[in-house]
Amino acid sequence: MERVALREMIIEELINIAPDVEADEVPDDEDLRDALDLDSMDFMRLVAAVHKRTGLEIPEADYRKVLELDQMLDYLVAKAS
Amino acid sequence: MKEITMPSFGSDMEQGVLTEWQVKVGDEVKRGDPIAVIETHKGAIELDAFDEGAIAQLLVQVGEQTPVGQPIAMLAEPGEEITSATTVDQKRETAPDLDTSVAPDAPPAKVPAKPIAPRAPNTAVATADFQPATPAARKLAAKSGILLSDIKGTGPGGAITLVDVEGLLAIGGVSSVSATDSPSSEKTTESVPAKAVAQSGFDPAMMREAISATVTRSKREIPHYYLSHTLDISKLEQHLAERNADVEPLKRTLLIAPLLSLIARALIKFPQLNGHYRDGQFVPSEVVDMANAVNLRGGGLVMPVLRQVDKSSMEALMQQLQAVTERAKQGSLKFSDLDNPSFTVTSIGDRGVESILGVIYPPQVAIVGLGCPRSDVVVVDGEITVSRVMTVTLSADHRVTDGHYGSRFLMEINKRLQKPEALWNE
Repeated sequence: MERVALREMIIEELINIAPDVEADEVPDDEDLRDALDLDSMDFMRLVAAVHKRTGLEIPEADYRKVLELDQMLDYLVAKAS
Repeated sequence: MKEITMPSFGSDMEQGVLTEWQVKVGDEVKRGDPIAVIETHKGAIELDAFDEGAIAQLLVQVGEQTPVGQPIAMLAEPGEEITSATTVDQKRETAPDLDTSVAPDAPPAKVPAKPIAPRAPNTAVATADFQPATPAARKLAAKSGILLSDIKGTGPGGAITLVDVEGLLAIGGVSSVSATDSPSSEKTTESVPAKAVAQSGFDPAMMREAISATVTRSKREIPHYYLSHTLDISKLEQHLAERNADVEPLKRTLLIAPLLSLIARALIKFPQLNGHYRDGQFVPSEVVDMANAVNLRGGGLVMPVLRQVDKSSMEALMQQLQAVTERAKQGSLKFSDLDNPSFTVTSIGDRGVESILGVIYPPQVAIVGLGCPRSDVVVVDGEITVSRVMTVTLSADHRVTDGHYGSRFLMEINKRLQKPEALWNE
């Protein structure tokens, strides 16, 4: 999956989890959990959704590497290649 | 024949308004099936069936205010026939000479000789232009000047849900109409973003009032005492990391689950903290039905109840937690999700401040507050080390227990924290 498409997919799933979030207010380079006030259950659901849509695994030990949207994209792109 | 009564949603609820019947006479229901929507002081909540059977009678009319405990419907138990007497009653209700205005003043009888008046759901005329919709959807539609008949419902039986109204608003097809149609004096209410209202089935303003009423009563009636202790959670975190390492995302255990579990198990040894204080007397609860405070994104909080946490396996608890938290966030909690907790835990989560001192939720007598997990310098066996810690607090009712008892309880939690693997083996 292309980075752009991946980004769109992640934002779509974020909005599923937090319906009050607008697509254009999702920051690329800020901690998503702080910026969007996501709790640990929300983040777990995001990781699960990403897994379901892409088949790509984000183990719990790597959560700290995917805190920002850009980081998550880097991580997933690297993993997919 | 069993009565289905107006349920109590919180100790300060005296009556509820039935806003929607989701069943009709003759419908078979099983435990957990939705029966009706009740407008409470906290917003609209779905009432689900506690028993299996067939709906024999609907005793109240949509829009009718009913005191807590008064029968609103009769349930025929499996095998029991819906008697012809019932049918006669049903017919009589629709008779033109029925004076419904008498009903609200009538004393709440255990089994009313003459049922209180439904006509709408059972008559053909009413059903013809009856547009099924959830209360929240109705409210938003009315506020936004949309006719229900213009909306295509996607809910059960074509019912219009909040999402449907929202969807229409989001498209923007109607928002301009409401802006021009509404008097300018109402602009402030109109400007509440649809999405903020749509957060949940709970009405934010009503919820604020309900929280206010509850905490005010708590602080007025309950002499709280407070204890705080910083606990070492390194072993638990380590154990969880190992368990979660090769597990798919939704099967991973969140830190909160083992914490709730060990608190519940500790409560069994400290029964004076788990139960209800009513009429000047404390009655301990035999099980730990634990309310877990969930913050809502639109503001406010709800307290869905996890059942028999002391007896649940970790897997079962985690599943229960996920299901109930999701319902809480979607605003689709049912009465059975909220009914009669014996103890409450409130947590900051893993982002935020280090401690929280909770307000006891009457008629309960204690609440535990879990702070944000953090790294801190601690002394272990005379050596300075960095550990993962969490500040855990207890607010408890001084009429029932004293600080010493509460202190022993917190120490018991600490003890159990140091043997996390036991939680999966018990």
